[in-house]
Amino acid sequence: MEAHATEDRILDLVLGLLSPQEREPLLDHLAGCAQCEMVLRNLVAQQERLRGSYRVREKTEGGVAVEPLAPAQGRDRRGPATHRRSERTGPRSAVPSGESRFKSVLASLFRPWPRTAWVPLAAGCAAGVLILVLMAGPHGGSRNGGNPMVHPLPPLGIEQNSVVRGPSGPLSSAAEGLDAYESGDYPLAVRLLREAHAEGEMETVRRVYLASALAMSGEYPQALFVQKSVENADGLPEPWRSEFRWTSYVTFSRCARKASADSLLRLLAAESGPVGDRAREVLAGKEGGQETMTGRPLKPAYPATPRGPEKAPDVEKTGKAVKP
Amino acid sequence: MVRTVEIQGSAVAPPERGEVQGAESIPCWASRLQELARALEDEADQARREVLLTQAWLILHSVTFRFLRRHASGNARVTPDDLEEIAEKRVSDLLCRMRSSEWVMTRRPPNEVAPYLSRVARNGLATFLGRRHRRITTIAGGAQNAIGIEGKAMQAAGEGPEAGVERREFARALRECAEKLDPRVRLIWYLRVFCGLSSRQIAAHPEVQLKPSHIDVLLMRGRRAIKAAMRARGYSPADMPAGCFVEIWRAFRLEEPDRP
Repeated sequence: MEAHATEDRILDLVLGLLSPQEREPLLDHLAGCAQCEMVLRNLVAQQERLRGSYRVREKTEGGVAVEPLAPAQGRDRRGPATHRRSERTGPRSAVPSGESRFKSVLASLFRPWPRTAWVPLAAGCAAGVLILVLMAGPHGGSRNGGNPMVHPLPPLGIEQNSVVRGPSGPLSSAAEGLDAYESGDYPLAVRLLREAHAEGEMETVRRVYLASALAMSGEYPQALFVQKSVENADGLPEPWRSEFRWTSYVTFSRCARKASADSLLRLLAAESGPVGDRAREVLAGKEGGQETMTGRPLKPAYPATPRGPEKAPDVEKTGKAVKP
Repeated sequence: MVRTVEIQGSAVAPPERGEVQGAESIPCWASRLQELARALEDEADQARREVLLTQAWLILHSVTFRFLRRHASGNARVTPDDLEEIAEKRVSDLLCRMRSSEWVMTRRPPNEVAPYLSRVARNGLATFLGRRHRRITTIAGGAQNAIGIEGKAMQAAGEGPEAGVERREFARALRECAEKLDPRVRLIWYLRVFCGLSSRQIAAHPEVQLKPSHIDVLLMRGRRAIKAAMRARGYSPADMPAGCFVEIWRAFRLEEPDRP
């Protein structure tokens, strides 16, 4: 086990007395050790509090006085005077405030612009139009261009469907949500699955599909929230488990959490099956110099609507009939 | 009536966790304190002298407070406020003695500074408790309290690599969100969220200098911005893991020339 940093050492760090060679390893340790980080935080907080509460002053007769500080009076939130417009442009009365400021903004809008002002404006508009045209180009997928795609989860089998669609009323909107999901109406699926309430394993089913529907609708941060709330995600049967992890990978990527995404991608690439293939393809693309895979969806991994008994997943094999 | 004040343990506080005592463990702050004392003797400008005194005061306060906490560990009747009070008084005395050359620190080797401050803290505690008719029983092995952990959540012992990555990602995301804030708003947010300063203390902070009412407005603005930016990345700022403080402090306060 790595030894903790001493409080003396941490105080030296706070006071800026360590060389960069001494400082960096200590900071790395502090970032990973909650106990030492708390010592640092206590020390820093104490010093900041002292600076915000007292002032050390030398008395004329030779002594030293530690006096309590009073908050500043009369300064405004716009910061030091040197940064303010009034200081740069002229006397304070020249700065419009309240209604007069609103009027001055209106007046500036309707004031005829100088001829030279049109040139940069026209250039900016042209650049904007060009960007829009490029984004809506023939390849489409502008939102997905250069990013991995979310894949829909496989549909539930007959066993699971019978549980979801059982006679109990509260699960009806979950069942409708799953119908909407399977038909590809993801916004409706999101709405219905959010409204639904379930318990135990059915709650896991609801959250897994809700997270996927959110990701399919492009609501990645919300999808991430829901994904985090899924308990025992590693206990899901295949292929839901790996598809759920793939969706997590995509949401991590879309939320700019590259380290988490890369870490998960490497784990997925070590697995077999369509998700493993997909992950290996992305990894090969990355290592081959491409930043990410193309927006083009890969071959469909699962056939649609296996509703009949003959297409139900092998419940005996998984041994987990209720979980997705 | 006999008043009893018992203090167990040596005059010099016992070594901390992982601390190795010896010549090589002389802390840099002790040498720095001597440098400041030397500079104070030579400095003619009063404003500059006050800056030096402030720096010395911050070091003395941190060290004395730490020794006080260690000497008082296990005594539930000594509150942190009591320790603050003792530290404040003792450090003011030390500064006055340093300024009047009554305490000539520069003539002693740096490794004597810490034991001396430990004795100052111990005597201060004894005087305080004697005055309040208190009985101290320092419990050996109460070092956990002495480091100021305050029962906060520790890092999970068996934390896996994925959790570590997650933690670092969160801290980095928080730093990136904080980078987008106006420096003044960021400082206010930092002082409140990480250091726990009140609006009044933040308002009086030498790097802020605003009205307390403005602090509240700016703080709300900063919090909203951070919350929105973190939510956009799929995080809830409420569940801040370990490592965030170090990331933020390292990014925004470590290189500040006027930082504490």
